[in-house]
Amino acid sequence: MNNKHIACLAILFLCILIFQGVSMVRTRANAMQAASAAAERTANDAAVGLRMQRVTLEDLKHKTSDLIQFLDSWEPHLARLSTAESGELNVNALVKSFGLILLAQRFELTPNRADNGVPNASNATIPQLVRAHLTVEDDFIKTLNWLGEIESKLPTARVSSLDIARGQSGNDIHMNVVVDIPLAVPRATPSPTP
Amino acid sequence: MKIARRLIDDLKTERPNVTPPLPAYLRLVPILFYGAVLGGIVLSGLFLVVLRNATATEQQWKAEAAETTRQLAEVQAARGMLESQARRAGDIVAWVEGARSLQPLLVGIIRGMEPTSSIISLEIARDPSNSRQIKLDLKLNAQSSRQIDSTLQEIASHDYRTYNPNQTQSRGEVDYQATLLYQPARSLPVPADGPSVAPKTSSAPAAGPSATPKTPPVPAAAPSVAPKASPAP
Repeated sequence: MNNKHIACLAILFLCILIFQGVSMVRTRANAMQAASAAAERTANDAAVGLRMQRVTLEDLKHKTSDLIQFLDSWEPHLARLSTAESGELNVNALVKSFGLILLAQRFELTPNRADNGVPNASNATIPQLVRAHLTVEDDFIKTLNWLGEIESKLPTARVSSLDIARGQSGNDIHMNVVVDIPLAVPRATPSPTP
Repeated sequence: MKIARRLIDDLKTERPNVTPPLPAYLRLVPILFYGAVLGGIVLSGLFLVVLRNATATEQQWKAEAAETTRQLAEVQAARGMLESQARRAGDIVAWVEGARSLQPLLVGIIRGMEPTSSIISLEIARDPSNSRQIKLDLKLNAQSSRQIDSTLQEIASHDYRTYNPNQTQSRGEVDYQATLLYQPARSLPVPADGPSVAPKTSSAPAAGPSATPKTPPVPAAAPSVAPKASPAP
């Protein structure tokens, strides 16, 4: 093997190197095209998922519109009695405004159970309530009007127990009443609709 | 001193050829080399263009997927919020269903007393496990059974139905016990300044009300009891 042969081999080796380099560039280009196609599939799948979620959301909005409207109409009344103190103050103010003879009153903070038949299930929206135990003896017309006023002015309050008997004199009645005032957790602020 | 070129050539001795010429077919080697260089440049440029385009396209799709994912998260958050609002509304529906005003019923029962009858005691208590059910315990002095009938009519006129009635009577004293259940009528109760709303039962996605509330809206102000002489307890 002489120098000319070595020169030929060197040239052939250079050719192989060039071929190898081109091949590497081609492999990278193909890999990148595959990655691009995968990214396109991912984006398309996400777009399909987004469309489906939007349709579901619109359907849900349509179905719950009445419930949300109902919630909106009651929310201010729940927010007005958001603390135990506000509940007690409202009841006391109504008693005072009617000038009722109040024999006894007691307020207690008690947990609220879910009204769904499940024993001891807690109520997520109204976890607590203020329970007012009131004993009144006064004119029956005034007392019943006061009861109506409580149920009208505090529409979220629930008269859970009522016991009426004849009073000591005249048209008086003796009434034991238990009023439950719900303390609802504040409503979460809805995020802007996408 | 300058020596003539011819004389130097003449001094040089003849030498044997140390590198014989290559075969003729190896003349293709430089052609192949030039072709490889040229082809390598062209093909590499082509593939680089493809690589650059694919990179740009991938970035574009990735950005689009990220934007879609962001919007998807927003939609899912809005859906979660809506579902939680509906659950909250369901809880409040359950509460207000069990907080219907009792005063009109009470007034109706009292006004339904005949002049010859009087109430000894009247107990109304909501069932703690189901506040829509009301336990009624009415003790009254009545000369005839017509009084209970008229009282039941009065209760029915307030859209309450009686269950498990139990009546005992001894020497003009009647003890009537029953469970009252509000009859679905027209719409949900609404606050005094709220609109009358009748949600569809199926609209609650997860925890909606189990029964379609269809009851008359609560009046803005509870009925006022006008003075009436006889049937006071």
